[in-house]
Amino acid sequence: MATLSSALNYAVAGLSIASAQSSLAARNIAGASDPYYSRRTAEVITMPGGVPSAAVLVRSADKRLLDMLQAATGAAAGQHTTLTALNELGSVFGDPQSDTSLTAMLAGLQTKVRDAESDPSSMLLATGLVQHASDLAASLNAASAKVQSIRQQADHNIEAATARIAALLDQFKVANDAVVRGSGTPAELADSLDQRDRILKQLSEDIGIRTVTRANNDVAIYTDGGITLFETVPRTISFMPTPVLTAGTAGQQVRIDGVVFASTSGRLAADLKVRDTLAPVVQTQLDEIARGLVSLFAESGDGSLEPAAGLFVNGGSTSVPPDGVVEPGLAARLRINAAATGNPMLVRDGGFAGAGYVENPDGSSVFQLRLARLQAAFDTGRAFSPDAGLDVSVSIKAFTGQAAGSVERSRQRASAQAESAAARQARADEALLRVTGVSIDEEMAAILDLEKSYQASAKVMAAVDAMLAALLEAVR
Amino acid sequence: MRTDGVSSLAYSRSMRAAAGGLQARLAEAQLELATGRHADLGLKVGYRVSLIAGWRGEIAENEARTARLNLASATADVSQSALTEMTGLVQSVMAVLTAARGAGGGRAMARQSAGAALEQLTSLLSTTFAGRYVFGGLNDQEQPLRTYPGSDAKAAVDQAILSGLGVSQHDAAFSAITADAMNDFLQNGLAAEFDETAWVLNWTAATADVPAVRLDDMASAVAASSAHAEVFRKFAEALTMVSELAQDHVGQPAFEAVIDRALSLLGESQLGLGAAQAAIGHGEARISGAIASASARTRILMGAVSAEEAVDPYEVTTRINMLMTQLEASYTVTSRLSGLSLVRFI
Repeated sequence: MATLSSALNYAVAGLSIASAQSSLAARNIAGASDPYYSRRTAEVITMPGGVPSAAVLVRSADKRLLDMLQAATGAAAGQHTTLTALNELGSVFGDPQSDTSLTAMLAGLQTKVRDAESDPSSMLLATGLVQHASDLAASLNAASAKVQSIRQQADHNIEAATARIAALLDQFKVANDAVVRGSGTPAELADSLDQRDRILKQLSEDIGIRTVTRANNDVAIYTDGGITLFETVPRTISFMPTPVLTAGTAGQQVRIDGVVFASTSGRLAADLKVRDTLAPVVQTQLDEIARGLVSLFAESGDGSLEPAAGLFVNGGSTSVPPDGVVEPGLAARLRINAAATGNPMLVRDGGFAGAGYVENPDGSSVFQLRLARLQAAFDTGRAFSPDAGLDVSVSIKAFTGQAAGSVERSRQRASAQAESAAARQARADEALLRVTGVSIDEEMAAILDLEKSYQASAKVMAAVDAMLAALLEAVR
Repeated sequence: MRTDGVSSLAYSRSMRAAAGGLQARLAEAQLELATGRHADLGLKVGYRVSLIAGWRGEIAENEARTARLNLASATADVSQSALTEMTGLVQSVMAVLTAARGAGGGRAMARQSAGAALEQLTSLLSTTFAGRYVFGGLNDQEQPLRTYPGSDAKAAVDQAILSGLGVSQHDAAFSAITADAMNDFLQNGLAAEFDETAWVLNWTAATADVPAVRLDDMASAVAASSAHAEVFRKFAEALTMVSELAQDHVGQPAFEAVIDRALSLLGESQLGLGAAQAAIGHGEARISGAIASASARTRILMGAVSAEEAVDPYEVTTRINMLMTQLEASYTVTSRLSGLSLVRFI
């Protein structure tokens, strides 16, 4: 039977529902600009006995959208890392308009040889030729150092990423345990769920992940290659950084749970690719260019002697590396023959390797034959290693041009992919926010409503109080 | 549960991202307008960077080649003018010798004229340009023809006269030399002093080969003469024989034999000089052709490079205007939307 006291009970229930909902609205407004916050709503349900009870807290979430966002984030972060590294690798070759680009300096060396050929007795031209060759060797040294520093940076990034991943997995354990135990108030539970999602979003930047929800809202994390990252407890992720990376030394692999890690998305995978594939190919190309220079300027006397290094030497060695075989690190070791600065005419006459290698038969000051052969050799085909990823039988000038072109082509493709990956990530993020995000206007409108209903409930209580007072008045 | 809504965070994020993207593209467009080239060439053309690099290298080489060929052309001009002077010298000596043949005091006239001409020949063959001896062949650092008085050549010639004719040219008994003996000596004894071996040994430091001028990747041209050549040997022989053998006391028949032989050698020299000039002229023509083709090729290559690298300034300006309009619109909308909040109306 509906009595005054039940009216009072309903009014009290109404008050507490309104207060609970307003507190949630306030919480939502506070978390409006937090990208990892999910909107909470309070559902009003009716308990047995007819009394409406408040707030079952509902946290809006969508696992499918979250999975899509994780995949898109991993792809975008990975593409961005690859593009940044490729931009730096491209700068190794330089802008084609610049006189200091590798291609321009190589063509400039041929021009200097032709200048010397036109006036072989000129010491000025010979010295200029040796100086330009020295500049070219220095450019190749610097380019090789740049490529290795890019590799070193990638190695550092891998170390930082593994540390980040390990820390995030530890945090995930704490949040996951809280969710699975189910202890604590619904508000605390919702906070732990937010925490978990936040960790997953941050994790997906570094490493491509897939999640599986099991009994009791327990979440297990796997890499997109299938290696277990987290299952009740976090798995160990180990990596040994290499203090000094040089051409020809490979870095260490990342191991998760003992298994070697391999993936295509996320920063970790991108940095591994930069360190182990992208940068070493460019290094090989530089080494092949340096080897081509040593071989081009090599001397063999009247043709019958063993070829020996001429103007360009491989470090301290006087031998000429064989065609078509990569010498790792040659570009860093390339130097000008020590005898060249003292006697630049050795380029014209031959004789760096000893008196038997002199090609100028009578010491004529206008000996053109060797210089004529040298200037033609820049355009003749020679054998290059297929490991460089370019043509195997092509002139040294064309090879250098192809190397510059292939880095730019990779950069072009990576830029397009990075743009589209970033766009996909933005779309996925927006889609998820549409479901879980807070609209301040909505919350404000809700508060207006709640204010009204609170006032109404209070009015009801006041009315019932007046009715009871009238009754007691009548009884006295 | 709502089916259609926008979160405030998504709103502000997308507005910020849009404005940022427009600003980046605006900066890029400004750079393109200023330089006339694509802001990021590699990103735009990708692999074709290798072609552009090759073209630019060729353009730089063509510039250097044109400078080299101009220098070679100037050197050839200097050779030509020296050879023209030598031709004039031959003609004037021939005139003097023809006049002196019959005259009474002709011997002194002939001897002095020949001596002076030999000095002038030496000086003409020692013409330099840009620090090189143009008639030195492959040895452009040593004087091509050694100065005659006091040289090994003079000593050798004196020795040849002594052994061939039996008596020195300054000896009074020289007058007894017959025409036949003189002719025989001129054909054999003296001629041996001017054959190639003796020429290289005593007279000239020049080489038989001359330097080649590179025209393009494949071809070279030759546009010089060397003091080693036969024409100069004959010229020097004629002048030497007159200056040594046309002594005051030599008999008339012997004198005439010397003059006749000298005149015939000078005639051959004249032809030879003409041939040398023609050869150099041919080389010069090839050099001019190479200069013209280098500049034509440079024009074509610059056009190809521009086609790849250049941006149309009108298109860039239009793009800048459009971006600025868009940016202004996005700023206006952003400020208006941020004012659209229920908070202001409560």
